[in-house]
Amino acid sequence: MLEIRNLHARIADEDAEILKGLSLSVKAGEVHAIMGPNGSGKSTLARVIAGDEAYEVTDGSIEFGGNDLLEKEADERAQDGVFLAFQYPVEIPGVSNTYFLKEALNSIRRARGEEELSASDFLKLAREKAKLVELDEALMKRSVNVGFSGGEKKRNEIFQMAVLDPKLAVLDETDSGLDIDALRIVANGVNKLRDQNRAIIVVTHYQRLLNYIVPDQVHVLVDGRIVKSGDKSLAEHLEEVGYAWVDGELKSAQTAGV
Amino acid sequence: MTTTMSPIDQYSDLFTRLAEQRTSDPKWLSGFRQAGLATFQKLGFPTQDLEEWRFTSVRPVAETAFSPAEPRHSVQASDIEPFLHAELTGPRLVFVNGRFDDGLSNVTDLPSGMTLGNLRTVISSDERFVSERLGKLTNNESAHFTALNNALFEDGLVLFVPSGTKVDQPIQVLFVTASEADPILTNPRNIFVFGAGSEAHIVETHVSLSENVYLTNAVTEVWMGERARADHYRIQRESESAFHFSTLRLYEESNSHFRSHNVDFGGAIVRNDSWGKLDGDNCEATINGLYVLRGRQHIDNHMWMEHVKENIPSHELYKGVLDDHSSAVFAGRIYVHPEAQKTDAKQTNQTLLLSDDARLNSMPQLEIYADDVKCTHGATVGQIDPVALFYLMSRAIDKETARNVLIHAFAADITERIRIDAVRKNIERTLRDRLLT
Repeated sequence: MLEIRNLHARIADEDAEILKGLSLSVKAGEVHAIMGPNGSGKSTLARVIAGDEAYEVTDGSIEFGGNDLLEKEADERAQDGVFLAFQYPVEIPGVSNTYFLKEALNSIRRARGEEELSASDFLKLAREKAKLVELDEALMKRSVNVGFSGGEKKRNEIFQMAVLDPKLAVLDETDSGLDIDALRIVANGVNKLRDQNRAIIVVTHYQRLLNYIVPDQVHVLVDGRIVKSGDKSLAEHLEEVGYAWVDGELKSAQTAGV
Repeated sequence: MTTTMSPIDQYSDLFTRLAEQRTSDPKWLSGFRQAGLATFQKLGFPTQDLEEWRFTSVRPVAETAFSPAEPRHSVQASDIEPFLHAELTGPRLVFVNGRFDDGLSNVTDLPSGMTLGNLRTVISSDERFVSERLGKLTNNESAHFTALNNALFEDGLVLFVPSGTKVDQPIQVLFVTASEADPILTNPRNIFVFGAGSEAHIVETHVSLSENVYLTNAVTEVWMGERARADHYRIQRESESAFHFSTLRLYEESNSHFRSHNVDFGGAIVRNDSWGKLDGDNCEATINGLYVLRGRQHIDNHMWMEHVKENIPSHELYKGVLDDHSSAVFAGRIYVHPEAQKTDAKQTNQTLLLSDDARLNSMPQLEIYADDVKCTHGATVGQIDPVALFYLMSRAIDKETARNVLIHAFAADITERIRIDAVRKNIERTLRDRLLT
């Protein structure tokens, strides 16, 4: 479903590369975890997949469902079924959560040639999906993320994912800032959305989240490249030995390469 | 002959021509107009050498030869329908080219003792009411456009709400300019008097039936008696070639609260002066504004809040959206007298620039002579937040729509403070239409 080859990317108008030849292949139905220390490029990868114009791809390719993803704008990618759960969901005062999400869903439906949902059908759908992450219905009427607690914001992201029903969901540090109860609720929501037609990429610093969302594959990202891939035991091993171990592995790999 | 006249002479000539129509004016009124003309002749149009006019050039106004507005009766109800708030079923007063149009207006079922009508009529029916108030709040010596209004005003709205009377339905006032090709000028003059404990809401709209050049020069004087409550909405949708000058003079007694909401969409050159004298303990003033400009539109919002007595909150929040080559000025001064302890004054100006060529000059100022006060002021200028834009686009919303949603969200700070649903929806709709063109 997702095929990333030799991806190089940087912040637009800056010289330093953040992604330095990253390759990744994700099939429908799979859950992949991307782990890595701070500054390794995890969030950059998430945003480049979603189409953030703040980043510039200088080399490499991303194919999604057989199409070139990089030539599309963020909204077109979302219409094609790409979803990014933000690490820091944005507050938009003056725009209600319900209005926002209904616009989003109907944009996707229009792009697919489907009829727009009526207000009442949308509300029915939203109510049903809100239960997945135990989101208080009152929050749906409020302005997008305004006055939400950290946990509510993260739950709201997964709620949006549930409503928009993407083919590929990228969860950027969805565990950050969550206490254990909130983490469990969010993870349960994600697990209910696991589906043979959907791929999920979980970007995280810690292994903790992966106790709840068990990945099919784990990749370790260091300095803009995937340096190690394996099954869920890789995440457990990382938790024991820390990222310093990966740094060591990387250095020896580079030495061996020379 | 007229082509060689200086700008000021034109107005003297205009005044003489109009004086022939005003032979029935009471003596005090003729004197008032004469004094206005004399002051205007002395002051002329303001130049940019003056601090209060530093960023606003009125040269295009000074260089235009305006004709007096002729009464027009050809405006039909269907012409003004798009500008009326149909949901507001209360009194409605329509002025066409500065003059009251009885046929288009509807003033019935007023509470007893209340006056609501046009100035010309009230001068005949209750001369003393007008003579005791007209020009009493204006500072005629330094206000160029007020002096011009004093000399030339045609008509306007008079409202008197007796003590203890609460007017449930908002009062709707529409100033329509239906100009011919020649530039005309109108000088609306309004007087609002709120008795003790009274309450009313006024929705004042300025519109044009053409995209012609013309000048609207309005002056409004407001008295707020003790414990009175009033909301004043001024919605300016003039032609984008027009000049709009408006002066509000507010006087508040103790425990009263005046809330003013100014929304400006139209005009080539717009200047709004709001002056408040907060002269009673615990009174309160709220002056909010939203301006949305494009092309080469220019707006200058000036306000002076004078805190005279104790324990007075005043709030000013102005938000602007500037596109293309448009420009805006915000100048707010809060003056706190030595006796005005416990003043709580807040002045905020926020501007969203949609273009690299748009300009803003923001000058919030505080002048404080009391020691136990809380005064804050601040100005921010920004562009559309790229992170918020990406967030919306990542949810399948196209860039154009995402941008408009964020502009609406920016303006919502003001629109959400509008308590009359019909007015709020009307402004949101105008904003949406504006963003789509």
